[in-house]
Amino acid sequence: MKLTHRPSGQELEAAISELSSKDFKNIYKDDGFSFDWDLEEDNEVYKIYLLSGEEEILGLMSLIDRKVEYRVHLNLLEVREEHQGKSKKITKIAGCLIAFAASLAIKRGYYGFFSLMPKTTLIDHYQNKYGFRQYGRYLGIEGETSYKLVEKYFGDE
Amino acid sequence: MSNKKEKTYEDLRKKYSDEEIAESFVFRNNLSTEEQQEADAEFMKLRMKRLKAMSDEQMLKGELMRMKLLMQDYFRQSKFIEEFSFSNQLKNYISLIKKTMVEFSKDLDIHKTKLSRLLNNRENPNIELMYRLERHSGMMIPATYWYRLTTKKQEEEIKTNMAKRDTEYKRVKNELRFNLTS
Repeated sequence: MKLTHRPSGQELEAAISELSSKDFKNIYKDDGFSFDWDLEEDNEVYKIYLLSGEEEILGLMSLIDRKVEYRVHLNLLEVREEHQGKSKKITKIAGCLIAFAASLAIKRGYYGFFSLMPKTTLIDHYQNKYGFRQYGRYLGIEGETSYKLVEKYFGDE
Repeated sequence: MSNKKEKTYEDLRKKYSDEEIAESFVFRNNLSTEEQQEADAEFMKLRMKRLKAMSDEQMLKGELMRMKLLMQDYFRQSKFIEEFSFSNQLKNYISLIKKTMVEFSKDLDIHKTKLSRLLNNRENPNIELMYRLERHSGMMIPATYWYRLTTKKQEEEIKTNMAKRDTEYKRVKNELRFNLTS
């Protein structure tokens, strides 16, 4: 998958993998992340990083597998502080993590269904950016929308 | 229990617009147990309704997409896995599309005996067949994926066929020898 270095427009090769216990210790002390990721240790937590610099985590995502409901639930996501807002240096970090959640929901036989519980004020933004639709208090993505997200961010890797 | 002071949505809102927050965060929900149960029950109803409303076509596309992504994961690994041999994936494909061997061989314009040989590992597929499979899947599984399934197995055979290696070694004359000293 590819991220973009905003100042130069250069594409950067990135990868996503599950967090190790050593990563959890480092993140706790890392000022680039403001959430307490230790609270997610019982979930599946993934990190995204550049292949050229594996030691720096660019973003984190915590997922819960809800087999009975045929869905993956996105419980928490955070992009490293220097890549947030107008002055961010690298783009597509959250998009790649979200597409990764979609790919897991496809591979686990949920027809690409994954959900999140949004802050009310952010609903429109999640819907416009990724194509979520509302399921009561949850937002969800499935089927074609999910497949398109995977193709958009990962291509035919 | 951890003591890290987390930033709240309100903290972040002082610095970022809602759009910028949505581009970098998904928050944990802070519902009470009762609210959570209510939200889950409502969700479950809607989710099951959507699942029941899925057409056969939508389900097949979902299964093929799953097959494709699992193949991609396999290609990233260095080892050969029997489940991902060409013949096993072809069996998987035929089972997903719910066709008989006769129907499928007609679809691909090959003799049913040839299909049987391919499925039983007694014949390797040619490039022409890979193009036909790509077309048959509605372009969901590219010809190159079928090719890579084949080459991964061939690579494994090259690595592990010691008897053949010994036989072929014996036929070589004037092999190069290097006795370099530093």
